Amino acid sequence: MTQAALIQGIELHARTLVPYKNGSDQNTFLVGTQSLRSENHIHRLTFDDEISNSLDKKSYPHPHGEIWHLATHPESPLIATCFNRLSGDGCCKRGAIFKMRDDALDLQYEVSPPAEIGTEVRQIQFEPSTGKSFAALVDCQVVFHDLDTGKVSQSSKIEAKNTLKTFAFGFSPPGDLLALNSDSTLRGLDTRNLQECWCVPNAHTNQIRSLDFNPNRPNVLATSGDDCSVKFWDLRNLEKPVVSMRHHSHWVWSVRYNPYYDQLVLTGSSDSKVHLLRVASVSSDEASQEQEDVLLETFDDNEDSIYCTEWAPNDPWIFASISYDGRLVVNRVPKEEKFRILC
Amino acid sequence: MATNDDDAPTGDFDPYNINSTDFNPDLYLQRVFKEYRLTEIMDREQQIHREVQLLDSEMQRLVYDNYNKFISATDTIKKMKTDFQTMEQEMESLVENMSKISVYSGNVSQALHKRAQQVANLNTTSTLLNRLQRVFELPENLRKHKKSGQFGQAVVLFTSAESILSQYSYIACFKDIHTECLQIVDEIKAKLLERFEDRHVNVKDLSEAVQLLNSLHEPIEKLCAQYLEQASISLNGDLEVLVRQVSLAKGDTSPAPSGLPPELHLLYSTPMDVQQFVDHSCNSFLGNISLIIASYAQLFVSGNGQVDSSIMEQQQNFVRSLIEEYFKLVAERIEVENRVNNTEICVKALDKTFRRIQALNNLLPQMDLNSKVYEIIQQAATNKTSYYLDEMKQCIVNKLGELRHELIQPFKGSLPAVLVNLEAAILEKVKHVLWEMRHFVSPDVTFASSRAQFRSFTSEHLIKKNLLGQFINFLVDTMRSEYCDFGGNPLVQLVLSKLCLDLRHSLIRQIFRMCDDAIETQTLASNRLATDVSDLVRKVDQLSEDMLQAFVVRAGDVISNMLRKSVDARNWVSCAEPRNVRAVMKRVVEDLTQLDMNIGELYEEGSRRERSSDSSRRTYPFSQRWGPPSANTECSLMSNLNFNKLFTEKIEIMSKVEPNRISVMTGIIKISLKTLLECIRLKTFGKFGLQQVQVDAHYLHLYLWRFVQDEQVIFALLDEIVSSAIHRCLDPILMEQSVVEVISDRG
Repeated sequence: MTQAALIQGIELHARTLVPYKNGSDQNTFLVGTQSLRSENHIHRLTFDDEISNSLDKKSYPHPHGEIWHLATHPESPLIATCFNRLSGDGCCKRGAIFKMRDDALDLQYEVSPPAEIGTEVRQIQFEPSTGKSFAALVDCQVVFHDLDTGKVSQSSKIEAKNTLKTFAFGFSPPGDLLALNSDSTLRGLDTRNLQECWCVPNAHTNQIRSLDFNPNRPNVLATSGDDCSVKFWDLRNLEKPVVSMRHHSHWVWSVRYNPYYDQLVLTGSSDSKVHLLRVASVSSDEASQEQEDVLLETFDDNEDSIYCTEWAPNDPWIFASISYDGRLVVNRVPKEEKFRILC
Repeated sequence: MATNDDDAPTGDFDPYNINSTDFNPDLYLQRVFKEYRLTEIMDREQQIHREVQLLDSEMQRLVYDNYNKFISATDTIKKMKTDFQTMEQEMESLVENMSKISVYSGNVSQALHKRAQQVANLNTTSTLLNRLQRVFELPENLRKHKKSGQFGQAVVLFTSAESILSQYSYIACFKDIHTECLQIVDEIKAKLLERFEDRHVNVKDLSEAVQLLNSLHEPIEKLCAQYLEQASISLNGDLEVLVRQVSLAKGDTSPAPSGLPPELHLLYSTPMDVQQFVDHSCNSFLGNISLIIASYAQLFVSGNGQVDSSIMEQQQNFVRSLIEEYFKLVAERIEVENRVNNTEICVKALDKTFRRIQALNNLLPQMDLNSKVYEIIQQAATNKTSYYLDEMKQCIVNKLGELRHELIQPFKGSLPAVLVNLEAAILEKVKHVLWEMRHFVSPDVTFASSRAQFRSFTSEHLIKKNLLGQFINFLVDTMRSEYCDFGGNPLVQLVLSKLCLDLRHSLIRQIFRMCDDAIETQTLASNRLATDVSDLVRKVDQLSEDMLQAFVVRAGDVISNMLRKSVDARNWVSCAEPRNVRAVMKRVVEDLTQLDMNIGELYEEGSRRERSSDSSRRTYPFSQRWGPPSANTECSLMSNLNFNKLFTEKIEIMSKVEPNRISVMTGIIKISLKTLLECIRLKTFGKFGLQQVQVDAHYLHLYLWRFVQDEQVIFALLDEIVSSAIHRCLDPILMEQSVVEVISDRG
């Protein structure tokens, strides 16, 4: 039995959604809006399960421009945004580090792309293990910054044909590895020297859109892309994916592992559907490895393309998805599956 | 005498019966007078009178007739009386003479008795002497026969004399003769045994020798062994030729061994084809072995009356080892043949072998040679099947390769022609292979017609399941693994999807019907087959769907990539005012038109959902909905957008397509437009950038509506494209609809 979804409308378009931890046990999501002509906000939405099954909403103005990407620091209230700033007759993409207070955002510093490397800051990810640095995706290159000073510490030299085709970008949980794509090629970089340590050409038949490492098995990586499929890779043998699933009917923009039960995987697609998959065969839970890899449930509460889906930071059974039309939907893992996992 | 009163009771006293002895005329008369009337009496009187006259004349005639006989009888009696008297006298003299004769004869025989005994003695002496004469002459005769090579007669002579010689061997001279004879006989035996060692002696001579030696009391087991040994020498010679032939057939090019007799040299140096091989082996090896088996039976088995089991066993071991060797060679030779494309000859050769072996099997029923030769035939059929399966697989891989090559873009030929060629090639290959395999089950072939089990095994299991079933499976698997992905040439996928559809609807059935026709198994076409075929059909059906889906995705992808590149590569903020539809849009329309044509060549039209009669000229909904462009605030625009969506169905982008032109085209166009939408959402637009999108969208609508099932789908997508561009626009001022139309029309 599926409980009814909780739906929250945000007035503007939105492409990005991120769980916000900051050491609390609340289930908070941040949503960045995307508008060229009105003021953009970061919405802080806290899901209160116990009392009213409702969302507590707060918003912080983000006057720097429309938000393309959000990231949160694993421990502190620091967040990173990537935004599109309008200037004169053009626009430029920059990043910024903020400290989130209860009533406002404090800008720490802006992150500009080094001119010799690229023009656009497309994504920022905090280093997950120590949290002392962050990686910025500049065009298709990785630039490491020190968190305290904001100085560039090192950068990668990836040879890619089209510099604007990198969408999937993420750290492995121990922070020793960065994975990213260029078009349909999947690469792994060693974070110590940003050298390429593996490469899978044509990992998908088309553009790769998203990736996520298994939080409990750092050698397993999930990717999704424009070929409508979600693939699971074992880094020890990258010749072909361990599991490949194709249920969506359009590009899969987001793939996310459940942080607690890694047999559960969430995907969001521009066919405006969210899929909950069970991928038991590459999960860390050995007891469940016998089970079939299946599509558990399709959630079609969104009306427009979904570019981001995320699990709640503190509750393994709750997840959120944001569609382009600004609709945030909070859903739950079906009870049967929950009980099957808990038993 | 018959009278009226004839019926009077007899036996009793009846004086009135005129025929009775008691007849009393007076009483009779009285009664007549008393009882009859006058006229009756008168009549009676006349009647009696007539009867009396009749009787009288009859009596007279009797007396007259017998008179002469009486006379002669009396004469004869008189004469006899006189003759008997003389006879008595003669008899007496005869007795007298006889007694005299017996006296004389007694005397004579007494006189002759002594002489006769002497003559008899002389006679026996003479025959004895005669025999002695022959015995003395025996060595001489034996020698003579030995010299002239008439061993048979010599043996007959010796055996007839032998008993005497051994009987009288206590007499010195007989003993000498006996030993001399034995010497000669030993020589003859040696001569006969020589034949066993002679390599080129024919089997007839050999059996004669065995017969003779047998009558000279040679131990039969030894003879058997010797006979078989000799036989095995000549048979092994035959086998060696076969071994050499097999290695020649396998491509051995080493020269024939030197020192061969000239008649063998040819056999060792010239390779035979399989038919010659079998003919030769039948004539040489099988011919000889059956002759040997037959004469062996004649010589050693049937002669004895009871069958000596050790003799039979000896023979069976002998035959088994040789025949196994032979079977091995035949199997090897046939296996060589499997790589060659001439089943008919091969089957004929097998059949000939089979018939010969069957004949041999009749000689040795307990050895069950038939089942062994069946094994060989079955193996040959199985090998042939896998050979042809490989050939068909290779053929289809080549054909698919050719197809891929032929359809390299830009393809300007006719797709149906390509498809027809491909299908014809497949059918042709199947037909050819069936034609070849048919020989195995042809009713002209003895092994097929004599064993229904083999026939059904071959036709059902080998031909239908292993050959055709596997072939179609392979075809489907190859197509799925090689072509049904989301890369590669979409035209190939289009052609193959239609091929699958044709397979599913007619070709598979046609192939199996061809099979039934070729191997004449209508009666055997059981239900089991039907399930096999329907499994195949199901598999092909699934593939045809997947293949068409793959085509749609792939073709959509090709168009998508053009659109994506065109959006990505452009600076939309600072571009110039649109004067034209962008070239890429024209290209997209051209390509879609080409695709539509290609699909139309293979698939049926399909049905269209009619919405309005002049939709191509209908004004754009968004231009009205949003009113004067500059007056919009974003929020109202947004709600407008969402509000609108409530009334339209969600559009499934890569949904399942139907196998018809319109459905397929709709699928491709949906994918392309959705890509355009997503790409636009990633970009930022200036005023003119937006207007360019507006122009492009209008152009696309003008040309694309005719391809799709439901025009509304294109509306909705183009709608969202433009509204997304508006949203992504820094300065959203739309172009006048009339100007848009002018520019689009110009394009």
